[in-house]
Amino acid sequence: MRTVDPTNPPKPCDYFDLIGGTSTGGLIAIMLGRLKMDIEACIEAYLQISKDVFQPRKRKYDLLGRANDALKVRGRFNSETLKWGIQRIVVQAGENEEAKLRVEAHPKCRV
Amino acid sequence: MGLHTALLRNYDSSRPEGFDCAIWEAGRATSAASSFFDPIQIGRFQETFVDGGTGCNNPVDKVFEEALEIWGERARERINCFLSIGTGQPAERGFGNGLKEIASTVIHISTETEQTAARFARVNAPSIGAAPKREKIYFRFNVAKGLEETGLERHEDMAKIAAATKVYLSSPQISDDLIACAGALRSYCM
Repeated sequence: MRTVDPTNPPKPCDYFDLIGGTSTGGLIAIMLGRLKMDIEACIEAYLQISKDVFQPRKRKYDLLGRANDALKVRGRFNSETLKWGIQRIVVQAGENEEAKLRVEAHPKCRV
Repeated sequence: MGLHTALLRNYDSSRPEGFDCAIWEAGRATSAASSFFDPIQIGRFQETFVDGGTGCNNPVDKVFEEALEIWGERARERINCFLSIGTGQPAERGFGNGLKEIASTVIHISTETEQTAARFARVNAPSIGAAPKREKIYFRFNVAKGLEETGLERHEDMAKIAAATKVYLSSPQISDDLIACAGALRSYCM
């Protein structure tokens, strides 16, 4: 196998015409395909966001929260933290935090 | 309200069900599929994205349908490489005594994704690639052992995930597949 040039690593968006995913795979598809990140940057961003987001909610004394959990009316983790985490990745990739998913009609790498 | 699988795209589609959303909204909506996060409303009509009861946790069929929608039937013979990556295979039934501790959703989702992968390999994968087919085009990589009890929330288990992945990738069959997959991608760029 050829070795990878560390200063200019190949990017999946230059090799794949279409990338799809659900949940974790969906986030990765966005990072690789829409934000055109290389693998290293994507791993780094995923490690950071999963660390930030998957902190269990403090629910020991949170009776309302526990009742909500029992009724399954809200998720187990903080949705706002996930929103901010994604926005930070978008900004790090050089775009506005409210940047649209679709900015071109026919992008080279579809997500 | 009918539940169905929605596709969020960064491109124009001839399909009617488009969503104009921010990147973060798309990320939130797809993550709601895990049931770990609150449902979210996005798009002009504020449609709700909820957890993955719709059973599309392995989107391989959706991606293939979408490729056919974009490039037409000729996509079948023009695809050089179709790569599918999983998040760990489920434990076999009746294995060990730790099963009780595993969230039932983890088992359910990983079982469903593997069934979908097996069906795709059987039904659709043989139709991909230009005839006469000499090379493998569809690749599925999914760590076989060691991640049975690791849900996507287990960020503290990264070392374990990395170790299990390295063991999997260094097995003879899989490392051959990796080289073949890299070859398929390289041929695309030349």
